[in-house]
Amino acid sequence: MQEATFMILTALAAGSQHGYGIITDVQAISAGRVQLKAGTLYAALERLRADRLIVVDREEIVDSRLRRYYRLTPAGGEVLAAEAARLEANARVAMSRLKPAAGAVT
Amino acid sequence: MSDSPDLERRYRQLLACYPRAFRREHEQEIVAVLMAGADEDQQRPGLGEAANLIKYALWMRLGLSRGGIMINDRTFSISIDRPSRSLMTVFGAGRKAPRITMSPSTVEVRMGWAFQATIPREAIASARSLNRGERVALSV
Repeated sequence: MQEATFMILTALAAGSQHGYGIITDVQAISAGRVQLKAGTLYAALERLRADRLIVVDREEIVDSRLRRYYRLTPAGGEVLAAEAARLEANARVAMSRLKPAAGAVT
Repeated sequence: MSDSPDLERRYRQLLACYPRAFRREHEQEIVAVLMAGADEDQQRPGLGEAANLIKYALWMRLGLSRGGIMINDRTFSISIDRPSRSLMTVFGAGRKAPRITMSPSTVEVRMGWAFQATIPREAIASARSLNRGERVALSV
């Protein structure tokens, strides 16, 4: 899974959000590291919708602009959980190997 | 956040690169996102933003966004430069109905009676546009 996709699913895991809300949320939860552009976001949303990992939650008009809110489906939640578990396991192995072996230092 | 009509018009010109079905579904909300992300006095789309929109428009037109809107079961004609034409005719890849057909799993290229290539979509690593979008190069 690409990082952008992972971050979009993570943003939606807390509740439904519209496009610009996803961009600002992803920026916040990645501490500014991941800055989604509109083209990237909508290509990912389109794919996630086709794969039924997200659905349109509702639409609102704010200041005469369309806001379409997306939310995770149960399948989307499962895919995100599986990916998060995989990343966590990888990170744990990496950290354990980087640490000096316990008891090796005298 | 910007309300500039000029900026909005320029964003919509960029969005015109996307397939019509995608635009009908998403143009309004993408314009809203782009305008929300723009600086207050911004008049033109940023270079990175514009390049990103064009890149994914091309992706969608080529059907490379897996599971997204794909160009399927459609045939496109290929034009061949005049200087190359006679040479290609000699090799059996000349004028007779050169065309590209996109199916859900393959991109099929036929030129003349002698040349035919069927490229599985998953074998296409990337696609980029040459000559300001008039031509497309596929990396396999």
